[in-house]
Amino acid sequence: MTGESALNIEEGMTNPANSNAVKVIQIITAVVGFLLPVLLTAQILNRRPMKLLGFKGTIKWREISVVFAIVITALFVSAGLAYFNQHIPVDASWKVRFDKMEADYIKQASAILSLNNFGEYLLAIFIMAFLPALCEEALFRGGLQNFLSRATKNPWLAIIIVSILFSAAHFSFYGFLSRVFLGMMLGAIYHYSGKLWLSILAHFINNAIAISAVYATKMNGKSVADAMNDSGDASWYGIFALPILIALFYFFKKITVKPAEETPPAGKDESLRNTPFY
Amino acid sequence: MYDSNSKGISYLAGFFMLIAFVVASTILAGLLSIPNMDSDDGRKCFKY
Repeated sequence: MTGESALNIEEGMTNPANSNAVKVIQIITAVVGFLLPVLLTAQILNRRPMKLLGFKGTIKWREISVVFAIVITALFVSAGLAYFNQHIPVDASWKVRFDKMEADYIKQASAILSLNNFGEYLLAIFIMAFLPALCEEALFRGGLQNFLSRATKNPWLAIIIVSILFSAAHFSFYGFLSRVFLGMMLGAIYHYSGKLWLSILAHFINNAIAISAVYATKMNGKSVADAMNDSGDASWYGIFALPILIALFYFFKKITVKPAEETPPAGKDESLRNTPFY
Repeated sequence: MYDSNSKGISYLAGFFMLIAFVVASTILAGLLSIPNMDSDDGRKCFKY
């Protein structure tokens, strides 16, 4: 329909000369591809769509500080999983494909993350940290996990299935396990608190730390690709960080206050709901 | 789970409806991106 071959589009998306176009496309994809469908579905399902998605409740400073500690600790576990993922033996032909996918991702991220000055850094924080955090959390946690959890009455099954979908949507083999883990962490924050803003905050901190690290590396004279190609042995970090993370979640579960679900009015029999006798 | 604001559609249907909407809106996002495919020097990003 566009007259473009898939190869041309791929080359165009990874060309640093197209940086501004790639940024606009990133914004359109996040808002139209992720945010609009979940708002539409919530509107179809419920008279109060924003409340259904989890945009409710007040956020306390105590919750914010524990979420911050959770994200920092989870980064170490995630780094350990990424190292493990890189060492999973795969067939040579598949390895070529996975390596190309990873190289293309780094090229595309480099095209967006030009990061030549502080203004470009702030723009990258908005486009690659805030927007994906808002739109992906609304879709994956507020929408998919929330609906599946209510349908199956099994929140952890919903968290695991949606985390796998979340990771698959990023099209990265080497980052698959660490993104499943990230999805589970965000899913648990949403499940325990019932507040979507907290999982958006966690996702934003995670992305903003990565962009800030790349910016700091670039300010020291290295390229974005060099900064993203760090593949040291991080397996030990994960082993040490995991018990701390579990303890932090135990603490988070105790301090967070889930916004109350509505209780049925007295005298109403829920089994008769959606019938003329209700 | 009681919800007086529910419109009566099951959440499982909502789950699959959302996946279908995401697929459709991703295609729409691709189409909307076409007019923005100009590179920084004003030329077309992609070769025709």
